[in-house]
Amino acid sequence: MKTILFFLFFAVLGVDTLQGQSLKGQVTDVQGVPIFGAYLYCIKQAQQGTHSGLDGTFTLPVCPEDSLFCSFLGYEKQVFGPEIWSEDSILIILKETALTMDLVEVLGKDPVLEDFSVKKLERLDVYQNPLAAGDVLKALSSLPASTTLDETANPSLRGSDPDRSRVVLNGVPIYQPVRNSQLNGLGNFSLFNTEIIQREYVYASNPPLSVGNTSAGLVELETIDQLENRQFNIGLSLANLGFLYGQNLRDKGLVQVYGNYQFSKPFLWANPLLEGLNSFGNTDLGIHARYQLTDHWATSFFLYAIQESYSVNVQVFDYSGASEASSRRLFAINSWEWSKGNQQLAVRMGVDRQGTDFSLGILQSEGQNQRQYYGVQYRWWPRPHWNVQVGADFQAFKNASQDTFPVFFYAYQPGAPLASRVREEHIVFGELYAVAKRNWGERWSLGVGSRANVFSTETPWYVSAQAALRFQPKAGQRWLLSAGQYHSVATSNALRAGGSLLKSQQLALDYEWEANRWTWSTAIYAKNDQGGDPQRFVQQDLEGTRTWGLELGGQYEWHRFWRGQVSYTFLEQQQISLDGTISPGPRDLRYFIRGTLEFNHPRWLNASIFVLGRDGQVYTPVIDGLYQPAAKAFAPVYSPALNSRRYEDYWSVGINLSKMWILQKCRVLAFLNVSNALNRANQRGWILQGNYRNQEPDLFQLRTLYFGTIWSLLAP
Amino acid sequence: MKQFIFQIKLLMATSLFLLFIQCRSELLAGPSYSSQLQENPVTDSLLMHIEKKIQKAFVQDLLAEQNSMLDQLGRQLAASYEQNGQNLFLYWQAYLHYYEAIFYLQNEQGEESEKAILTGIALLYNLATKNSEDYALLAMMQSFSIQFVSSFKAAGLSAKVKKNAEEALLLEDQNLRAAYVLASNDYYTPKAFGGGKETEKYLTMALEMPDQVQTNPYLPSWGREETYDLLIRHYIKEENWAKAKEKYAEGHALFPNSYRINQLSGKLIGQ
Repeated sequence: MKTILFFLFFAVLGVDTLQGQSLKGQVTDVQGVPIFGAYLYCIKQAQQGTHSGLDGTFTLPVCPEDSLFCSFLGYEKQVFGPEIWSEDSILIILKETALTMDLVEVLGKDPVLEDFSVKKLERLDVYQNPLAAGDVLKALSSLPASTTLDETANPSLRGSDPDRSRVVLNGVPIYQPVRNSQLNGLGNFSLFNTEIIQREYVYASNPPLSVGNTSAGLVELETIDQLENRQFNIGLSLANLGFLYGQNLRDKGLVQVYGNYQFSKPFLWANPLLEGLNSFGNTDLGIHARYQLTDHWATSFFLYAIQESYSVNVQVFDYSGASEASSRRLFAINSWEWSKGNQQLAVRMGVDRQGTDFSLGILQSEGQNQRQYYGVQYRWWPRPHWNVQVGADFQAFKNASQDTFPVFFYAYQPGAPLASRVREEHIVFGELYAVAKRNWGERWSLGVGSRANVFSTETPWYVSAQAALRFQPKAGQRWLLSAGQYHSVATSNALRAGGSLLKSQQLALDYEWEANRWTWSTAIYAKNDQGGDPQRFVQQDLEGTRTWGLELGGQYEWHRFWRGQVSYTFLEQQQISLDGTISPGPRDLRYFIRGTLEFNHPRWLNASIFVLGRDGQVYTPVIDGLYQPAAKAFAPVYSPALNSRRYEDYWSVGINLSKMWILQKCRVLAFLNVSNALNRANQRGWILQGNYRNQEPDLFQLRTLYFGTIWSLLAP
Repeated sequence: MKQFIFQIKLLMATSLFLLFIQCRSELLAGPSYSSQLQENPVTDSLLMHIEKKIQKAFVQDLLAEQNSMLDQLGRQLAASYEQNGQNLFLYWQAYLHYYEAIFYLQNEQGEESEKAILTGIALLYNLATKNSEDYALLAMMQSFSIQFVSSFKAAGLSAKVKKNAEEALLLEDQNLRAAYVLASNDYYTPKAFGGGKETEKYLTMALEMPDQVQTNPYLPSWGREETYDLLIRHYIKEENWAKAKEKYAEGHALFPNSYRINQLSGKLIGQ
């Protein structure tokens, strides 16, 4: 950038006649605001200098044949040749240094619309979260916006199905981001090691359109780009043996390698209340690396492989027996980033392959899933307060399965009629998008975005659009008004093929006030989701759901070591069937209360207790069973009133304890968690037996104990 | 963490005492603060050598045990900002609030101290565009405020201190104060949390930097004396007596009247 210099000619004088005269002028910034305190002096006679006054004006004795130097903090320094003295009045316009520096270094680390995230969590926040158990996705369950009801880590945000939300790692979507995702109640940890995550942005609704294929919320994870110290951790717990090693690569990058071997026998021995769970286990390996190749080029890479399995006894309709599952998964994501000055270009790629085996009674299924993602984005800061990003995404899913399944959905017992099928689906789509953000200081910012598919094998043409306005009246306070229309493509599952279009219109107002010791947050929102899964086993196709919700949350800290949090969520949800029938939605909740009390004394103990309480989920009751000779089983007769009943209220109390010691060159952390400490029988369904007139509650996990230790080698 | 907070408190108490002693001796030797103010009506000359003016007002207030001179100077700075809208006035208002916070802490008014430091932080935080000096002072004030936050936030705030100080160095790689704040943050971070490894690197860097990148009486120049003080204490902590003595000699030569440097001599005798 070059300084703009305007010469105002009032007189032209020879240099030899200048001795004893003075030069007058004014120093301003590009907006014409006078710069006070700019230093002006003759280079050869530095003592002959002056500073601009409050109105930016100055008077400087002429120094013939010398150069004039003008500088001020935060602005480009300027030198003017001896010809400057031939003027008797000048206007010097200085440009801010910030415009000339590498803006990407300062601003490019955060997503373009990060201002519009409801919550930004650092790694430390995850570790300190009593509900997170150190997991980046479990950490979301403490947010008032979380409406996850099944005790898994798969995030449901503001009443939407998890399939509508997206989790992205370094800009690449990761589908099914939890372990043992096929098993209810066990997919309670994400695939991500928290040690590789720098921060996560949670967009509870109105996800930024810089990321596609989400029609609910978005969780954006970023891996770390620099380690504070070399890492070498070994963890041993009731169900896991793991390690992590990480080190910086000559200040230009880092590499982290980790692995876990999960086993079930000690855990099952210590938790006899976990009836029905026969075994579970997994082995995983992750490699994360980042390297700055040149001043302008950087690359990052994450490779993850996992093999997992479980065996559990289940009762499905009239069948009681073992269900077994195993899966093998490998995914890799890679990004290449080029940045210079105020521009950034990134190319991102992701490949995800998964093989699954599942059996339940006469149901046998083998599946192969492949997902590919390719994206390119260009980001530009024409000014520090302006940011524009454009890009293109391409995604391809190939799902193949070979199934033997019961002809009647309620007849799993041996001898029941069987059918088989080979299914293969290809879903391919590409999208273009543009988003822009404008800041007015720290107080106001406005973001807009649009995204459209340019081709698709399954869905019609669509356009998503959004706008978000953020207002920060003073430090710590924030209002966020956001609205938009969003689209995503349904992924396939056991009930239906993927590829159908999901649509959502959303409006949300979020408010947060963060003071030194307390934080208060409120949100009110409405959304209209179209498309989606039919209710399981109830043969009713849905047009969509309508939702509105209210969230209130507060946090208070006292006596340095104590913190309490409480939140309340109200969510009214209606689902609309294709025939126009309106019934309560699956996440209709009159109350969802979360409370935590924490004591954190680094030398003594870290202890926390948390309480979750909410309405039981709505369900459609089975009112009778009719014996079907062809099926050799009873067929359930569902009530015509969808979701007309509600399970008992859900309440759960958890306790966490941890303590850290320094033993010579090691930091040792010991931890103990008790879930559902009061052993409450929380219902998640009904076990249907015989002719279905006898029904027993199917329960969430009863009291569960987990403990372990992590040893970390302190870097020299 | 408690040790960490205790160390910060200890540093603050020591710094307060040393600053008080040093400034008091300067004050006794120089013209009275009120006469200086009469010589400097509220014009651009208000900012001439404002750093020293604030420090002297602070000592004056400590002696009088009331926050009148800092308050008066603060009101002048605020009025000037209202008139002219120059961000530089906000910088010095924030710097003044930092000294106010120290004043209140010295007088065991913890809540007032917290309010003052948060007011100063808010002034800088709300700046639409921050320059290197804004970031450096913001980082130092945030570092001071760690003593007021809970154990849940201390580590996070320490990370913010580091980020802002790094931002200051990114904007101006010769900013002595930014390097000093980075060193100080590292020095007071417990080893178990990764601290203590870069203290020497940043302090050595700081000493190689000029007091001011652009010589200017309106702009900040603090940090060199603090850098010597911290570097000597770092070497004493590491029991590197040779280097501690070497830096002590250098620091003493540059700041012969510095009580904070001079008082370290007692720890070096006999080593």
